[in-house]
Amino acid sequence: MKNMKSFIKYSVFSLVALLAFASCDGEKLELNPTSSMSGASLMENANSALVPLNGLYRSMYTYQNSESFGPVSFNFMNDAMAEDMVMGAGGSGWFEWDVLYRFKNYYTSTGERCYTIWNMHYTWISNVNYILAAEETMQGEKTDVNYVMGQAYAIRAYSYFMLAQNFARTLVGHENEPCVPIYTEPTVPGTEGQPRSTNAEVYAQIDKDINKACELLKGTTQKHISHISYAAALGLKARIALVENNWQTAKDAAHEAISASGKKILHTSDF
Amino acid sequence: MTVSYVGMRTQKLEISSNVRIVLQPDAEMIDEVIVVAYGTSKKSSFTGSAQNIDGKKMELRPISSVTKGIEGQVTGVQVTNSSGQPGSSPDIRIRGFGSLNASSAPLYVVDGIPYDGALNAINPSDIESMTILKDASAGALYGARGANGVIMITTKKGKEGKAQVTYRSNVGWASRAGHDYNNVDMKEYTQLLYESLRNGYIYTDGMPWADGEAAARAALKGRMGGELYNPFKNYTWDEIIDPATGQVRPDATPAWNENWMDAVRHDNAFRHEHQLSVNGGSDRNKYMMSFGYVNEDGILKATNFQRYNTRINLESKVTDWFTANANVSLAHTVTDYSTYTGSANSNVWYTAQFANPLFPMYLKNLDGTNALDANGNPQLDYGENGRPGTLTDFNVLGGLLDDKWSYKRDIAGLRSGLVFGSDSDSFGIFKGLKLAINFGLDYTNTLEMGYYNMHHGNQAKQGGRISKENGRTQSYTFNQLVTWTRSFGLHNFNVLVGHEYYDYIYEYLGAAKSNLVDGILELRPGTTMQDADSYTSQYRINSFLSQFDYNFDDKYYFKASLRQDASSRFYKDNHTGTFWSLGANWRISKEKFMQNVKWVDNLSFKASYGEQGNDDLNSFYLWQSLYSLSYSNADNVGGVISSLETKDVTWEKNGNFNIGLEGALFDRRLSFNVEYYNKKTTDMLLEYPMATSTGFDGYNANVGDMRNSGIEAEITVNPIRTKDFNWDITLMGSTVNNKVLKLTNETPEIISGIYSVAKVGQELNTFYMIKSAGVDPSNGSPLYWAYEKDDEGNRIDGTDYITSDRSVANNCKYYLGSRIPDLYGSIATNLSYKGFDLSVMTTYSLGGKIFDSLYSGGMNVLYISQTWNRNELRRWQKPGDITDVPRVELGVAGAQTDRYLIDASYFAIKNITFGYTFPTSWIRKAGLTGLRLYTSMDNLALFTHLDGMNPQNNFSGSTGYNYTPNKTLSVGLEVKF
Repeated sequence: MKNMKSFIKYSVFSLVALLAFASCDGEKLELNPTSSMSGASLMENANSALVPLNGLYRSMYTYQNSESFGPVSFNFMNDAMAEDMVMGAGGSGWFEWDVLYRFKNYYTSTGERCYTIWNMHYTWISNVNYILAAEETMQGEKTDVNYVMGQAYAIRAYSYFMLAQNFARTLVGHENEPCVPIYTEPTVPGTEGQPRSTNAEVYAQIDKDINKACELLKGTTQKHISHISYAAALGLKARIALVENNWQTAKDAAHEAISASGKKILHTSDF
Repeated sequence: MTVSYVGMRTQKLEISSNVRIVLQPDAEMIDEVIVVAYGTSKKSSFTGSAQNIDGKKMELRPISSVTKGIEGQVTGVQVTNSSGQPGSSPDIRIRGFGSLNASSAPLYVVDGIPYDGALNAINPSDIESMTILKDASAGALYGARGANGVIMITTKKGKEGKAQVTYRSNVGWASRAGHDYNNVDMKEYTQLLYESLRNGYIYTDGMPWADGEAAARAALKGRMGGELYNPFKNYTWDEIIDPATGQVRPDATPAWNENWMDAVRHDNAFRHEHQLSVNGGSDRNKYMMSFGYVNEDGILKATNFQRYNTRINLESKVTDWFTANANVSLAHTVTDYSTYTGSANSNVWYTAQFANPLFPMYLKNLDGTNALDANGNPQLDYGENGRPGTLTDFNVLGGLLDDKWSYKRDIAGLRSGLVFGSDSDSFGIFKGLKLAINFGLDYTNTLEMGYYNMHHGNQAKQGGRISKENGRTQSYTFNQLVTWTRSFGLHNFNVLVGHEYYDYIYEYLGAAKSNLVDGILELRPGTTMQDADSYTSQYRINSFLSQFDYNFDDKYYFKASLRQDASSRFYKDNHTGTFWSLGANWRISKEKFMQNVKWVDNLSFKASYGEQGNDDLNSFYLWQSLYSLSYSNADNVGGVISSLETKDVTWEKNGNFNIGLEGALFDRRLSFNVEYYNKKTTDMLLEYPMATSTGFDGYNANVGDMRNSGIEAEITVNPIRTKDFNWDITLMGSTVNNKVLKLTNETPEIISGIYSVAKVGQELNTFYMIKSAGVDPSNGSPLYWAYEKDDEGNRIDGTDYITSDRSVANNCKYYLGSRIPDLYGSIATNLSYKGFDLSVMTTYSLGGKIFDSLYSGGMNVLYISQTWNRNELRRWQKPGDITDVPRVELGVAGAQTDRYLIDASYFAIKNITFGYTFPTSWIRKAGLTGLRLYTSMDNLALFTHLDGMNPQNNFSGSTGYNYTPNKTLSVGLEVKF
């Protein structure tokens, strides 16, 4: 009997102590990784929003493979495919497939430009849509928020501009022909793929975005040379206007870009 | 008088002056007790599917990692043998492949607590037994992590009685297991190289035959980097091919023959192992202490594994109602390894295994002799004198010796528990009520160093580079279990209720610098910072568990279990999973109507069903929308979104059904165990596809079903069992049927490379490739099968035709089976005669296919630094030849066809152990209680359908440029006193 009494005493005692110790509230099970951050916390204020913006710029010069390393590689391809140069045969094997229209065999390859141009620009568009969705709620100084949002609009304009030029006929004379799908809302699980919008619709979106970008970036100071500044946005606007054949808009935007940059055009005799 | 003893049949004898009493073992009473989830059970009355491996089977084998000891011992278990790196642990799959994207690995439990340390830190000699839990009734109590089966390891405990000291020592020598791939020799290589050039000129450039031959003869010199790399000093490159025959001159004699693989191999790699254990105790306190050391050299130079380990298991009966136990283990391992994998030049298994036989290892003079250095020693050839190909500034032996990769690991483990309670009657209503409090901790700290040398190779221009990484893993499990064991007449109850909490944390820190000081393997002298990184991962589970175990008269057993886990991997609304099982066992041999059937010793029938879950979806934070922070823009922090927020993601579930019949007949001369299982995985995690223009290829969702089913059979026959001579044979066979039942509506099939990874109605990882149709005799071009398709793109039966157009064939692929075998298992036998014993363990696998990419690389050589497989000698040589190997070409990537799909069936002799145990009468004089000498040969032979292929490289049927497995011949002794 004595044994039993001590047993009861000790075990009940420890059981109670233990259960108090071991009781677990649900919060302990909500863990966060330290090698990444959640989207919600990054879009809280203009300062933390620079993180996704800088990440976007970095992904623009991240190497994927020898034929796709961001806008520079797409520009190589576009230069080779321009009307002022004709390639009659393959070169040393790089950047030749597009020019020679030999891409048909590779259209499902995720390593070739038919996929990477599409994928890269739409990745930037979806990243930018998350930033733009926080336009109303982002905290911080007006100029700081505008700095972030302006760049976001400029990147989106640039992305749709590149997509339109690579995957559709040019705007002038082909206003109602199919262009590329437009997305302006952040992607969530279950977001449906959109059908191709017309050239007119896409360029209208591009114009809206680049004009907003210029408006927001006016008066802001560039924080890093890789960021799209007011001058850079104007230069982009001029380029877009050229494709649209809006000569006056192009000239005005270009002039303002030069003066906003604080630089001057070097004459050929000064080289 | 009556004579009785534990485990023996009681005998009644007449009393007389001289009585000789011989007791016979009571077959019925020898009932194996196995360790199962949260307790123990008698094997014959266990309602679940579990098999036991006795620790003795692993004690004396020259293996360094416990998982190597599982192969062939248990039905339903498949093991890979992908690396011969000393200290490596094979992967294990229990009963098929439970998932596509989640982990299919089983849970390892050591002494009742899930184990997170390294498997090669456990000393195989410390193991008392291993139990493999295969079905729901056995594993449901492990809830979250038990869906893929559980491997329970129980370490040796102290025994009451006089202290026993055991010393074991084993020395062995290792070499490559199985055969090397057969490659062509130097003259054959030159012939094939010439023909590949000739074929290029004739069939790609359109030259006439004779012109092509002449052009090829002239091109050899340029292709091979001039006369310096011509080993045949009696002929120059221009003359080596006889224009009349188109063949290499038969009397061409090579001035060197330096096989690269032989140069880096370390034949007869030495392994030695020493164990000392002390074991004893009184009726109150028991202890077991063990100390061990292993040093194993690898069959590749500069690779090695060393382990120091100690274990102390204490158990104390403090009072009649309070016992306490503590098991502490410490291990320290050092591994030297070669880090390169895949088709990297520095990967010895890629470069040296298939090296051009003409390339020398040492620098040569133009006359073929070694170009010696100032001290008169040969120098390694780094290719600086115009070696053809892309291996610049590279020597496979130099890189292996100069680059250093190693890691040091410290592992500490604690398993401790307190049990309050007693089965004594004096406790009244508390009789049989016990409270157990267990705490287990696993701590691992790994320090890894990677050093690229500064003289040659990858980082020579940077002045060498060194990286050091530290990973600290700490996990603990804390549970409180209340059990109540009581019997009322013939009714026996055992109820368990408990709570468990598991916490896991991993912390990583790494840094690297370049431009170092020769000989100092630290970051400090480096001038240039290359990398600095750190992060933490965490994971927690909170669970409630319960089990109800009832049996009537030791005849009818019934068990039900229920467990609820909340996992930190899922969003809080979805993080709870409930897992349960029901199992029953009918001990037919205990029935009255079986009492007169004398030839049946034991017969039981069991059935179980349960639902288990899997939360190991390869990410600790699966549901969160995450920005990957590794996109810094100059010195600004940058992040890019890497996953969509999916709050609905939750457990993969697994419905597991098992029935079995187990028995022992004819005085245990024949025992068998046959089981059928059927596992259905639902809510499989798959990527639900989205349009690429949304910016994501898909999001994680639980959609998808898969089924695994099969039969497992084990038969042991004991034909001879006398006092002096015992012989038994065990046959095991298992089948696996795998079928994908459901995927998403948008993707009824997932294709990746040569695999149709998943398609509704098919096995996982079915080969989906071009079917070869032989060779065109007129020009040696490869031919393929093609077919016509209907409107949905499916093949129309009977429309197959042969074509030489590869792009057509590329769109007409065939489903050609998978790696999953039809039947696999083992055949083992044990013989013992007086003090001698011999045991042989073999494993086999029938059916299944492997795509051997190492073989296809040797039949379709792309680079001048690689050689051809001997089967290439069957190639098409001239118009009119009929053969299955197309004309030889160098640098032309051929189609991946079923020519390289090899039958995966194999037979392996896994272990032969022959030993002699000295009779106690002899050794007693020396003060010993036991002495055994033995020789053990592990992984002795492998018979496959293709020399060199490792059929156990992985479960999906591909091969890789991996460290080849090894075989070890060892001798050892065991001394007890």
